Amino acid sequence: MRMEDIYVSKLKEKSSQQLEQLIRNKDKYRVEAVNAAIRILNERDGGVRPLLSQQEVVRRRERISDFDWLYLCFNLRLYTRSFKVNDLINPLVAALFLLSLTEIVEWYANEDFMSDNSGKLQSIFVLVAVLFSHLLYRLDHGFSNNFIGRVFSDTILSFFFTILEDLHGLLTGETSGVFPKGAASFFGVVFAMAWLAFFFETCVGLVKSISRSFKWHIL
Amino acid sequence: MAHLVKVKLGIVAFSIFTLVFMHLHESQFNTIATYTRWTQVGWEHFHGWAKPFTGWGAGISSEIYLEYDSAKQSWHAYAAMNNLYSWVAERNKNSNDLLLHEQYHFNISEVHARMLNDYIAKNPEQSEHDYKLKLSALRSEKNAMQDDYDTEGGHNLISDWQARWEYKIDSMLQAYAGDSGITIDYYAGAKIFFPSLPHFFGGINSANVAYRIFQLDKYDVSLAISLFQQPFGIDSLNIDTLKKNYYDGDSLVIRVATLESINGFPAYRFVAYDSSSNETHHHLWTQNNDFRYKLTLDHDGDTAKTAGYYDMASSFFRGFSLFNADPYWMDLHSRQGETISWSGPMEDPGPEDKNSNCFVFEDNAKHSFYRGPMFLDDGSFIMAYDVLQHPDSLVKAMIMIANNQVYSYDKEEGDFIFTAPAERLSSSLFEVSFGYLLEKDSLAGCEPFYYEQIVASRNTTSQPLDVALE
Repeated sequence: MRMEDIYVSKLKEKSSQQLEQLIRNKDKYRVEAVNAAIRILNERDGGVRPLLSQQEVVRRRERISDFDWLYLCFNLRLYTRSFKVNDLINPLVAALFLLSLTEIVEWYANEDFMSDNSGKLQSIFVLVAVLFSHLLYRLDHGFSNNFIGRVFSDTILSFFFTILEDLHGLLTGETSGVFPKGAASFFGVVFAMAWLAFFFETCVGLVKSISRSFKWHIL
Repeated sequence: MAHLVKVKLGIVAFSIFTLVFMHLHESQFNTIATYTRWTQVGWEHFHGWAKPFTGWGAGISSEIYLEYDSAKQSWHAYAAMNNLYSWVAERNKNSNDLLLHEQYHFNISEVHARMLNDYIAKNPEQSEHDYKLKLSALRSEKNAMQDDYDTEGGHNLISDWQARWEYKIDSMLQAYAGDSGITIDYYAGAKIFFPSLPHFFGGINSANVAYRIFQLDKYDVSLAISLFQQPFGIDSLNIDTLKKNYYDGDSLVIRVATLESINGFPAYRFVAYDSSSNETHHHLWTQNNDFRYKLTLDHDGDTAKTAGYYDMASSFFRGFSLFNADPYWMDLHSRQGETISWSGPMEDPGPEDKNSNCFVFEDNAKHSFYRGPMFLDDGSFIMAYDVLQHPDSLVKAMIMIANNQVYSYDKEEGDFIFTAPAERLSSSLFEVSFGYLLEKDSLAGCEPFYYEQIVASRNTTSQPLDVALE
């Protein structure tokens, strides 16, 4: 209901006519937005318009699933429409966290307790950072990001990580310049990471799809 | 929302603190680092702080660097250690073993610096960019080798593999230094690679066999090549005779006995464990018509637990080869020129007008290690000779009696060559008695002549007199 409250505060400035139009075109809007419009209108005119039922929510999910059987939703609008400054801050926080973890692993790479697992550990930390970023998104928005949104989010994380790593190298005197290997190399790395994110999220979608067929629901 | 902001701020604070702490700890609050170029390091070069929670006793940070020498107008690579990033725990400051382990990390960097210098020497016209690319590649190779060194040597805890790596790194240092590391014995015609300079000694053993030995005691092992003047008349070399003659003891257990090949000669490899001394002996035997060769690697402990030493022995044995050293002596003789100070017919008992050259045949036994006889293109006779039984400084004169002619030579430091001109050697088969007189006996009348005899033939190799006359 938190998202619905947010929509109520956003839509209460709209005219009744605009809200009725939103309700008529309910398929184009989120369930929470439509219910928020209904609640505002009911408060204004004392009407008893029914809220969208849980069945409607399920119907919509199934409809999406018909076209999005791998959870590969390319509807960027869903991502951009709810875009907030936190969607930049979250990947930045995740990237910084990832950098510190990888540097710790690097620092202790030769220790016996690492026993040649530093590479694996760093890979795991990348996954942790990505999941952490998605979790923050969900907590901030009240719903999970869609496929293309996750790819964007991962790419932003990669961008921040790469730039933070270069900055770290610069500040510690290990490298010189913000782009020690050149700007082209920097953006090449980011581009490659974007593709990697795309591939990774596709794999996640596939896993989700398979798990759903076994009635296991993953966030 | 508020709790999420706190979580994010907490993560940001943790991350920044961690990154800043690691940097300040390593750089000791941005102290300017000092660099020591490759040398024998001591703990006084380790200025860094130990990492928190580290399990190791010390660490060294060494790298390859490239510099331009404007005077020589050429690029030059060198290895240097960062003293600030190199550290030792207080409890280990008396550990020489650990210091040696760290030294070899530094040596690995030096090996790769030499590789880069080798590349620069072979490609002097390349650009700076090219050298930097090569530097980058060699740094990666170096880092991989540093990891392998620590992994296989168990960070200095697996002694045999630690020793094996020290042997390997020293070998690589030699390979890229001016000195090839190859020890050559021109008497026996043998070459062998030692990663460090061996010491030499020779003598006559209890079986009256002359030997020359090059030995290196390092890496917790004893590496040696023993060269024997072929004791004629003994059984030919094979696994059974070697077992019978050298490995027939209650406490000896033969772990390995295999047949290999060195320059076409059969070579026999033995690994034997002596339970009484708890030592393992790795031997490689081979021989030709004139010499027997024995390569040795001895170490403490049983073979089963010391695979690193077996590997080291294999590497050491692979560095061995045989060659024909006759051209070396012929060339040396031509450069030295004629050294005969006196010669005359055998009927003359010797230059009695010079009391110091009066001699009597007294001691016919093994006194030397020699190579020959060899015949030059003009038919002249030469024989390389190394006095083993007495110090060179005591030798007053060298004497040879060949084809009933007496030759006297002044003995000088270094290699000595008996020589006789072709015109005095009328027959193709003749007796040769050769040896020396000593300084210390000069007051006792005629000097005893320390000599041995062979029959020389222009067509075949030499044989001792007793065998040749049978």
